[in-house]
This record gives sequence, C-alpha cells and structure tokens, in this order.
Amino acid sequence: MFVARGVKTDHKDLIHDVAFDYYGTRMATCSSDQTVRVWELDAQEGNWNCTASWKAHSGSVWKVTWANPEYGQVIATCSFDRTAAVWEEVVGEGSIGDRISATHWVKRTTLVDSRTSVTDVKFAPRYLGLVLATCSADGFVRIYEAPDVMNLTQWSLQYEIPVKLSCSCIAWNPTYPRHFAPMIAVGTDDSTVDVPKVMIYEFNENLRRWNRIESLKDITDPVNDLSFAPNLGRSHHLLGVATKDLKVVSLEPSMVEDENQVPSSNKVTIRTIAQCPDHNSTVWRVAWNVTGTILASSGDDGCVRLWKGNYMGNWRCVSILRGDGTQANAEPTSAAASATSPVGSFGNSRFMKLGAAAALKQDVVWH
Amino acid sequence: MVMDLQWSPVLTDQLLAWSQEILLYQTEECEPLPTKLRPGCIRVSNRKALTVVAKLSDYPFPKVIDAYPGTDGEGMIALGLANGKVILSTFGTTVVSKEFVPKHTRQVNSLQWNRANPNFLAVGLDKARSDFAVSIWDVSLGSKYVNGYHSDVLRPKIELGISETANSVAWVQARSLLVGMNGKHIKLFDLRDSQPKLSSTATTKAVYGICVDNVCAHRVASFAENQVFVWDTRNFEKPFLILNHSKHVSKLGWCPTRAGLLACLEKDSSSLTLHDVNHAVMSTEEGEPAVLERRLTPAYPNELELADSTTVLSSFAWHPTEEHLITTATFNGVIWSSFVYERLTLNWSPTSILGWSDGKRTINFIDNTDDIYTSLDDISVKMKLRAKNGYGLKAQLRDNGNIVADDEDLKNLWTWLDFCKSLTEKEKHHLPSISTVTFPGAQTVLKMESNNGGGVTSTIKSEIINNSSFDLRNSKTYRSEERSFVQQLCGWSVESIHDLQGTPTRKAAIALFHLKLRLAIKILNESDNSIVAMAIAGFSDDQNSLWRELALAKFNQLSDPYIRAIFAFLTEADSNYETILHESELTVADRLGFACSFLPDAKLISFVQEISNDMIKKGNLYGILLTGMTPQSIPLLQRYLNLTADVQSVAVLAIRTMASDIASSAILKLWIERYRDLLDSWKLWDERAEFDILKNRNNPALIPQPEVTVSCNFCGKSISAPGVPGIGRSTQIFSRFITTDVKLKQTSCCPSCRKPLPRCSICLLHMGTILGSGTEQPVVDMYKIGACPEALSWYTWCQTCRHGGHTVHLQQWFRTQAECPVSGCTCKCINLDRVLEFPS
Repeated sequence: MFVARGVKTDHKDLIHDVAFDYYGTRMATCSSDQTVRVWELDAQEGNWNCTASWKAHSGSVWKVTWANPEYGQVIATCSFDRTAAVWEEVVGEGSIGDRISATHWVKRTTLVDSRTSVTDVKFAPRYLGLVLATCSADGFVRIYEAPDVMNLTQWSLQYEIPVKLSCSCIAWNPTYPRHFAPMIAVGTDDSTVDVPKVMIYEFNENLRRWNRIESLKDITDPVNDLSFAPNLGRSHHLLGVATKDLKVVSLEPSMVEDENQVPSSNKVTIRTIAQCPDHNSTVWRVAWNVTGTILASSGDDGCVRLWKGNYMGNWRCVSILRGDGTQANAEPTSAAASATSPVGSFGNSRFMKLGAAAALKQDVVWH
Repeated sequence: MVMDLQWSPVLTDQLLAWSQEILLYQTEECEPLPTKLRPGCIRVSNRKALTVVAKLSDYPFPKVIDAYPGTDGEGMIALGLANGKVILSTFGTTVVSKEFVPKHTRQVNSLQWNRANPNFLAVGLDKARSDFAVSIWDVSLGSKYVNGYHSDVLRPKIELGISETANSVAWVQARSLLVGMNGKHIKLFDLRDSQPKLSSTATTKAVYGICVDNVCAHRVASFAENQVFVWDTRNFEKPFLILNHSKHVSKLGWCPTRAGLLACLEKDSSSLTLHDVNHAVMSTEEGEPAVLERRLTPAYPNELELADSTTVLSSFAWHPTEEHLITTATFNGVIWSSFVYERLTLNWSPTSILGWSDGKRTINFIDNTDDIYTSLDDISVKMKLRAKNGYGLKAQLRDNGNIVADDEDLKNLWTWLDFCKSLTEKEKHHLPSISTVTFPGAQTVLKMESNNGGGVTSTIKSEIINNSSFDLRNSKTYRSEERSFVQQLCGWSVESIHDLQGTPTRKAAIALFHLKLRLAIKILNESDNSIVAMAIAGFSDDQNSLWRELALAKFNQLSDPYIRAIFAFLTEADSNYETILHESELTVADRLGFACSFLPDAKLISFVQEISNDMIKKGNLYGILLTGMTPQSIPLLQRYLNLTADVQSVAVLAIRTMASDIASSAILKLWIERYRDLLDSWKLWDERAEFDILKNRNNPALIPQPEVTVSCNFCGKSISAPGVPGIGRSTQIFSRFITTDVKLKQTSCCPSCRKPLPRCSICLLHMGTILGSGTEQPVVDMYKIGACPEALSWYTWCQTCRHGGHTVHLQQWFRTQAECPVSGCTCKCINLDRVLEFPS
C-alpha cells in the first residue's frame, strides 16, 4: 500500500502552515508551539533537513510565507499574538564545515498595527516590489512596503483597507505587470448569514487606493482559505476557496491587448465554475500546483483531495490522500450527511478563528 | 433505541449503551465496506463492528450509568435509578449487585466514579427535606461488593448539602468534588480532610452536565439551556467563556486525548459541535475570546440506508484512549464512530512536491516520482521534462516535435511548421500574399482581411475549370495560385499520392477529389477495401440510377469518414458539399483542401472564416493551418493555453515563429515572461538562457547592455579594450583574463596607465598572469565549471569585501575555510551567496 514519505517535524504542537520557497528546495513550517522551522531539501536523498528553528512569536504562528529570492532569504510570519514579523537569514559565525549552522534568522521587523490576531500574511508578486499584505481578525487588510529592499527593518504601512468583517485569509493574484492591476482576495470567517465571504480588491493606479471591485455572492459560508492559481498566461484567473465545501471561481477581466495602457479592469466577470462537496465537511486549506491545473484541498474528513478540471471545465476529484500519508480509495460518498446540516450556520457562535485550536499541550499553555 | 452510551474506561474495546436494557458491546475488526456483516454485528465504522456480549435487563431506563474505572471491577457498573437507588452490578450469568439506598426516595441526577481513586462513587440526588443531596460511597468499605450486601449497614462515607438539590457531580482529580446545586451554584468541595471543606463557589444557572477536562484538570464545563460555560477552577468566580448555542444543550464531554476540545450535543440535532478553547486562555485582554467551533456530522455510509429523520443524535461518547475517536448514537439506535481530525494544512511547491501535515506533527510528501503523482498527469512535470530535453530550442523545427511525441497535436504542428517554412521559402516569389510571412496560414494566403463591418473580404480571383472529362454533373473546380498553395499546405498533392500519410481511404478520397476516379478505385482495390472499390466502380451519374439511390440511402452508415466523403461526393448528396465540409471526422486539412478545389471564392472565404472561428473556439492547434503563425493565431493559442496551461508550447512557438510580433504584443510577452519565470523556478537556468538567446537572436536591440565593467584602481578607466568602454557582450570583460596565448600580451597591467592589475589573494600573482600548467584541479568541482578549464583561471572576487583571486585558488581555499583569505579581512565570503548552496 502506498504511504507518502513522512517527515517528523519535532513541532510540539499542531502545524498550521507549510510554505515552499520559489525553488521548492526550502520549506518553512509554523505551529501552535510558537516556533518556526526552516527545512532544506537534500536533492540526492529527497529528505528534508531542519536547518533552523526558533521561537518566533508568543502565540500560535498561523502562517509563514517566503519572499521572492531576489529580495534575499526572507520569510514573514503572523501570529495569534497580534503581530506579523519579517525574518531574514543572515550569515553568522561558523566554519565552512557546518555551513548550515553558519546562518541564522534575524527578526527584521515586527508589524504591530493589528489589535487582534493576525490571521494571514502574504508577499505581493515580485514586480510590485517588497510588499506584504496582512489581514487580521479586527477586519483590516494592511499593505506594507519596504521602500529600500536592502533595509528590511523599515516597513511603512501603505494602505489599511477596512473589510469590516473578521478576516481569515488573503491571497494576491499572481499577475504580471501591465496586464492586470494588482488584485487581492480576502476571505472572512465571520458567520453572519447571507453575507458574501470573499471580497476582491483591486489597486487603482490613478486614485492610489485599493477599491473593492467585487464580493463573491455565491460564497456565504465562512471561508477558511483561498488561493489564486498561478496564472501562466491564462486569460482568466482562478481562485480556489475553502469554505464549507471547495469552490473554484473564475474571474475573467476584459483583456486589453494594448501595450501602453494599464487596464482599469473594473469589469471582471465572475463565475463559480466548480463546487465540490466531496469532503462532506469543512474544507480547511487549498493549494495549486505550479501551472494552476490541479488543486489540492484538505478537509475535516482528514483527507487531502486533488482536483482537476477537464476540457469541459468540469472539476473532479482525481486522488484522495489521507492525513497519515496513505492513499484512500474512492470511498463511499455520503453527501447526504453534509447536506443536512450547514456548517457554521449558528448565529451566535463564532465559526472559527483561523488556526484554532491546536492541541496545545499543558506545558505550552499553562506557563 | 439508545439513550446514552459510554466506552468502558478499562476494557477500551467495550462499549456500554443503554435504554430499557443495558447492552455491553465488544468491538472487533471487520471487513471494510461494502462487505455485509454477519447477523448480530453492527458496523460502527469502516473497519470496526460491534457485537453484543452481555445484557442487563433488570433495571429499565436507568437515569445515569458510570462504568467502574478500576481494574478489579470485572465490568462493574454503577446505575442511578429514578427512585434514588444506586445499583452496582456486573454483567454475567449471576448478577451480583450491591445497592445503595437513600433515606428518602428521590431521583438520582448524577453519579460518577473517581478516576484517581476508583473506590469512591459520588452520587447527586434531588432535593429531600433534611436529607443530603450528595453522598459519597466507598465501595471497598465493609463487605466486598462481591459478597452480597446488607443495605442497612452501608452508610455513605461523606454526605454534603442538606436539603439541597445536586444537579450534577464531577470529581476533580482525587479529592475534590464539583457539585452543581439548586440550579444556582457550582460548589467545589475539598475532601482531603475527613471534614469536607467548601473551597469555592460560583453563582450560575449552568449547573448541569459538569465535566472536567482530564488533560487539563482545572478546566471545567457545564451547561444550562442553550449556553455552555467554561470555568477555570483556579479562578472560579466567573466563567472565562460562555458559548451560546441556538438550541438547548443536552450533553458535554471533553476530549480525553487532547486538551481543550469540548464536544457538545444539542437537542434535536444530527451533528455535534466541537469547541476548541485553547486559545481562549490566551486572549485575556481583548474582550472577545477566540474559540474555534467545528461541527461534526457523522458520515454514515450509504449502506446503512438511513432516512433523514433518524439521524437525530441521542448521545455521544469519547473513546478514552484512541485519539480523536468519538462515538455517537441516534435515538433509533444507530451507533457510529467518527474521527475528529486535526486540521490539515498543505502546500504545493513549484517543483511538484505536495506536502501536507497531519495532526501528529508530521508532514507527508509526494512528488512526481510517485506513481500516485504520475496518475495526476500534471502538465508541469511534462513541461519540465520537455524543457530539459531542449523543447523549442532545437534548430530544426521538426526536431522539437520529436520531444513532444507523446502529444500528437503538438508533434504534427511542429512538423507542419517545418514543412510550411520550407514551402513558403520556395514559393514566396510567386505569391505576393506570403512574401513577408514565414508561416502563412490559409487566411494569409487567401488575402483575407476583416472589414469594418466585422465581415471578411478577400481580393482573390480564381479561374473556373469545367472538367468535361469527369462525368459528375457538378464538376466545376476552381484554381488559382493561392488555392493550390493552400492545398500544398494541407499536404495535398496528387502527384505523390502514395506518399501521403493516412489510411488508403484517405488517399483514395484525395485522388477522387482531384477527379481521378480510376486512381481512387485502384488505391482502394490495393488495400483491403475492394468491396468499396467495387461499389464505387458502379458509379453512375444518372440522377435516378439505382446505384445513386442505394448509395444515398446507405452511405451515412459507413464508419470510415473518408468513404463517407467519397460517396457524398459521387452521389452529390447536396450541391454545396455541406456534408463533406462539415464532416467533423475529416481533418481540417482535408476539408480545407477540398474547399479549395470546389468552392467558389466567396464561399471559400466564408468557409475558411467559419472553420477558423470554430478552431479558435476549441483551441484546436490544427487551426494554425488557417491562421498561420501570425497575430491571427494569438486568440487560438490563448484558447489552447486556457485549456491546457501549456505555456511552454505557446512561448516557444512565439519565439520560434512569431519573433517579429513579440514587440507589439503584450500577450506574447506575458507568455514568454511566465515561461521564463517557470524555468527559473525550476533552476533550469541554462535552458532559460538558451531560450533568451533564441528570443533575442533576431532582435539585437533586446540584448542587454553589459552590466559590470572592471575599472583600473589607478586611472579609473575600464581595463577592457581601450577606447570602447562598455561596448560588446559582457563576457568580453572576462575574456580579458583568460590566460590563453591570444590574450597573453594584454594581461597583468592596465591598458591605459600600465599599472599592474590586482593580485590573486592566494598565489599573490597579478591577475591575468598565466597559471602554471600544473594547475591543481579541484577535487570537487563545486560550481560545475570543470567543463570550461579556462574558467578556473578567471579572476573572481567577493561582492562584499572585494577581495578575490583566481577561481581555482579561491575554490580550494573556501572548501575548507569560510573567511576571506586576505589577512585581516573577516568577511565570510562564501556564506554570503546562498544560491551556491543549492546545486541543482
């Protein structure tokens, strides 16, 4: 029976995020144990070796993300402790013999503008410069920029976008300059009924501000994660949304085939092209492959499901992997079970703060 | 019907479930679904089933039950009854019981064994005047429970709360007891002394279902109506959390294997609510606590065939040891076990590694070497392999097709492009319409132009030929230079009919479309289609002939599209040849070739336009035949890209065949940029560089200026060729330092001021001097430049401290050292450039 290669992370608690760098040879993980770990792929053996581990925050670390390597080896983290932080790997003391320990990670800045848990942090596409977006449970998206890429200690809060609902996740549209204006999607875990839970913002170059151009009316359940597909020249964007089920949304801007014009693509045609209830439960995370052709999702059923769209635009599950690394066969579906009780429809209860819950061991929590 | 259930705390594969009788189930492994189980077995999850091992029917509808947690109990349980009696009983043939009877008859509300000290049983009762609400019994006192009993001798060890009501009781570790009293307070009693002491009181209406988190014993939950209160016994005055529910709550239970996870059952609900309160602890300052709420709906398999109304849950029970396993029961008696999974996170690297966490602090990986990944048919894996094989970079266009031999459409496209190029090369002097185009399509050749009204016009003029030699009534054909060129592009040539690709029927059809009926029959006859040949030989142009009548009636049933086309042509099924032109099983090339012979100009143009639009809509690469590699093909390629994400093919097609259009097309630039980015992220830098070279080959303006010049320390002038600073390829700068014989005379001093150049910090010779022939070869060629021996004697330097030397020397130095070789310089040169650490 197939079993995926497992790596013991030595995190003392639930892992909240896994991020690969631009080359896919380094990985960062973060956890409720308040630490971040950096891993390097041994290309020959195919093993991941931990090269650094440090206590990054004084609360659960929700997300970790890599900057483009042209800005150096830089990661950003965000945490329940209401901060986001930027870390840079620097050369330290040490001999050539153990080069791995010859570097260490230095905190370059702490972004303290949020008054509540910072739930997501993402670097902007490279062409926008060294720009960081955070979102927080207090309902703000904040865009920071390091004007001098050589000095990562200076970050200015460029924009503060009021979303007005507790934000759980954020995603940049990985577009390229001159084709589309910068765009972000924000998801909220607010449990108010019948309110759109995904908002699309676009940067207006002339007004120098971020405008909300769309709210996805199809998605009214709390959103746990969202991710734009890498766009390899497709004429439309794909957004994967993890909510009570998995949704794939296509955003089609009116394409401008004009060299010098920055399109004010306020006209975006939005269609939900796939709605996949196969997890039978809440979907937690989504991730795309590098070409944006296969979507992976993880759900409360303890499975990772892989989805692929065919020529007709129909998305179907092509593989199921269990949390423990084994492959699941096409199991008997019980769609009826999920249909009977909509998740998170309980008025007063907060559906889910990002991250949640972690199996905090006593020794972590109670000290 | 099941009222409530509990896993045995000792024999953890046994489950108690009770309503009018008490059943003891044993779990066992079973065949996974959809296998049917033997009668008497109840499936409780995919791999587990329950069988009844014992039954106790003496005490119908007990109020509460708790299984004895000690190891010596042999499955003993305590039952609280509506009349206030507490029965200790075991399953088995001889029911041995002990009975605790209160002085006044009233209902038992709650009872619980002390887990830490299993002799103690706390019982909470309803109110009775001048009697106690809570009694704590020591079952080890007096006679052993197995030896029968004398109810009058047994006295409770401790009694609490005279004339009060105990709504619920719960032990906190060994010697403290929480009691929900009178619907008003929760009281915490310290029982360490012989005299019980009230240690703290909370005033609250939430006195029901008190339960203690075993993993974290000062965390306590209780409920009232639709609210769940979470308490910290160290700070018991007020609850630190109030969780509101939309319906009344009926049961609470902390997960025994994980801290802070509270399961909560509402009345009339078919799902459980799980609260994760871990983070609530930390948010003391902000008013709003951070509680994660999840809902757990048991996912019953279809085989259980439940009606919707039967899924209302009556109770649930956590498994005491198995991680995250919770068992639920419905009022109809359906028992099912569910796992409460930790939330998995996942991500996908650009190099096709998919990693996902599971709750047990591991991360699992699959990548493109795994079979399971191969079955995904990830285009990125294909593209990477093709890129490594030099896809798009081969000098001969045709050779690129061989790299994508697994994709017939792409392979044929490259072959056709090669063919088209050579054909155009040959013919461009005759045909003005293609004189400026390298890869013309039918649209270009036929001089089709969109007019303002959205229609298409063309200026071609064709000659009409009446083929009297052929007997067909409607055998007019059209001819022009353009038409015959398009036919050549379609691969139509009657002269070399036997060299054509495809089936004999295709050859026969093409021969016939050239009005060579005899040739067609001959071809069919030579292949195994002699029956068809015979049928065709009977061809008669008489409108009323029996042959035509039969052929017309039957040809649509033939499976071979070319034979169908042959009959459609001969029977003149319709005067406009619609049947043939819209026969979707014929290739575009053959339909177009046919149209070029038989359609008049206007109809040909509209046919080409129609079929082009169709191809663009489908993103079909064969449509390139119509659009050529001209800007008209961009919508088609875009559509292809939208469908396949094969940015690689469109990018290499763009640089190979549309180089002159790149500058004016933002879309082409985008594709090229995205492909380059992809190559970079795969570390296929050499391939990216070759791609760039090809891209800029025809456009010197795009070649970047030299980015670095080396200037003399003394005079400040460039040490490159004097007088021409900054011109030429940047590699020329370095070529100065190549110690080949040609360069010898120019080295080791500045060409303008004749001052010596810097020294190598290792060998202390001036740069540019020849290294001895005995140049030490590096043991490990870290940077893979061994293929270019000259590179080893190039001068190189650290970007930070600006000290440097011969590459080979520095390489040897830094193999054992991290610090700069120059005395006094503490620069960690080699650690600065991380990229060197990732040899791909």
